[in-house]
Amino acid sequence: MAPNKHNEPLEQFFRDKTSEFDIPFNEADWDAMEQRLDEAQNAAFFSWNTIPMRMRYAAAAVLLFVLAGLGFVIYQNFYRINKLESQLSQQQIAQNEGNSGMNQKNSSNTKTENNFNGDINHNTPLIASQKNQTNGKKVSPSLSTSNDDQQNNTFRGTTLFSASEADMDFPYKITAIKASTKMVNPSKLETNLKASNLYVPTVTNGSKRNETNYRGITNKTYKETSALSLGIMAGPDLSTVGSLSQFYTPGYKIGALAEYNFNGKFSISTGVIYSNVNYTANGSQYNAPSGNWKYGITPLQTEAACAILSIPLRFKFNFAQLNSSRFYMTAGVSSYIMLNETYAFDYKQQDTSHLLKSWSGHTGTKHWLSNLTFSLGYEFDLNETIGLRIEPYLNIPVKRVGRANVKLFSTGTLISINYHFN
Amino acid sequence: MEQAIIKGCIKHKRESQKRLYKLHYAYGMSITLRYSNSRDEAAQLFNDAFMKVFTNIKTYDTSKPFKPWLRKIIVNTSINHFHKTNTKKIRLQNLELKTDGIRIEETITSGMAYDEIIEMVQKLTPAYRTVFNLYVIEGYKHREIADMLGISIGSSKSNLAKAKQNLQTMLEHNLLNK
Repeated sequence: MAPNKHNEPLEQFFRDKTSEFDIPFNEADWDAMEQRLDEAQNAAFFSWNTIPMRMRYAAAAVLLFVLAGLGFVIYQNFYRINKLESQLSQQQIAQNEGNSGMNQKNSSNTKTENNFNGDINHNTPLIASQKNQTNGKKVSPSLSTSNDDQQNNTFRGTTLFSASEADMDFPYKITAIKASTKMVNPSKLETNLKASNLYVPTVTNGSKRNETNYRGITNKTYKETSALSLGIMAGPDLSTVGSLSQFYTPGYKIGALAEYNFNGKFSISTGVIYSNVNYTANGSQYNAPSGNWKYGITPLQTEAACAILSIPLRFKFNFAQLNSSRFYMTAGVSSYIMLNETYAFDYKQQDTSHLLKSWSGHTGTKHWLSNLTFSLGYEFDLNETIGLRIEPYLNIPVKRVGRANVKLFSTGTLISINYHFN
Repeated sequence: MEQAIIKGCIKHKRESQKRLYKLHYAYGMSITLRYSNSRDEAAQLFNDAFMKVFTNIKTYDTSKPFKPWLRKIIVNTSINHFHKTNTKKIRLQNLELKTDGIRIEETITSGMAYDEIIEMVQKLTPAYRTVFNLYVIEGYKHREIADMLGISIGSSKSNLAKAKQNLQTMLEHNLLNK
């Protein structure tokens, strides 16, 4: 604004007179102001921008902790349920084999079984268990029950336990099966053992399990033993620089990720994602470089279309494992590299011939660790090596990015195909 | 002292906000009275402006004086209000710009009260009043005024001329009645 050089009497008169103001304070005006401040405070309570940075970090940490705890509880429950199911299925199998494979006479074994453990069901098969022996051999005992064995509920000196009480922790070795009678045909027993598949395969960490011969004890699948995987992903993107209700035209994301699995539960991943981001910003949200606006006139609204390369670094936690799928969550940080930025400015003035209407350019600015990224996902195993994922995500800014220095929120869903190396 | 009050406003302390409001009430109202039709409208305009002050107080550079920053917000708020309430395109009036011949009887007009002057300004149409305020009081050039209001430079000049003519007429009428 240039100093007014006009010294016309009328103009000077009004300038002088309007500076001689003496306006008493009106409390009613402050009351109206205070009411507006209260309304604004209440409206901004759930607005992200009014929350101090420290509180945002704290909120993110608490949310992550709660999700991790919830995931742990769910995982523990799943493990317990699977353990019980495997015990039940083993009991059933042994029961079926015992009923179908033996020529039995009704004998008074009930007494023996009852003496063994008063709360054992009549039909509970008895097996011997020994821990930590993984020779992978088929069990083919030659059964000949001695009188001592019968009285002491042992077989060849090995104490027998009910299937429900046996230590089912893997690995274990079945050394004997006592069906129900003294008279046991060893060859038939061997046949039945084959049919029931109750033998222990050799297992070492990192190798595949032959699942056709081993059922129900554990819910682990191939993928937890795969260390490295690669995936390609794509999905829609909604971005905003204001509240989460001010989304503009959807953009998209496409990229590739590499993931390293530590122990089946935890993994770390990184990659490159190309994003096409669209958003709108009002005058106060678009922080243009100094001198950008002519005559100090800022636009009413700015429409932005940006191409961004993001480099995420994420930690992944599988919190619920199912038969051939799992639920997981991720948390991490992303760095943004601005590729192209295009802005269109909309002014309230009708004559905009002298104003900047748009700006476009390749900026290439880098914003390291500019956004926190969170997601919850579901992965389904198509086969031994390929899995499909669907993953809703949320990116929260911790730094301003781009030429407009905006705080860019993004959300959407990524669908990816992942190849697991064995 | 003002810096301490502003720091309190940044922390959203209500007491600091009220103190800042009271401190600049007279100054701010003297501006909004010139852009509005009535005192009530001026008060609402002033509160609109101060709402922006409190919302954007963090962007204020404390190394610079507060009053010019406040003045800019109040003037911009007044212009926005003008745009909202005057949607019809301001028509270009082909009037000869009269910069001479406007006489002021200083001995009589010097006795005029501030309220009387404001009342005269408020009697102008919104378009004339806004251009008059921006040019005469705020010191903007016609080109700048044209950009701010979305009008042509010619319209800005003609509106100013018309405003001054109307004010002259009101002053002469005031002189005759005294």
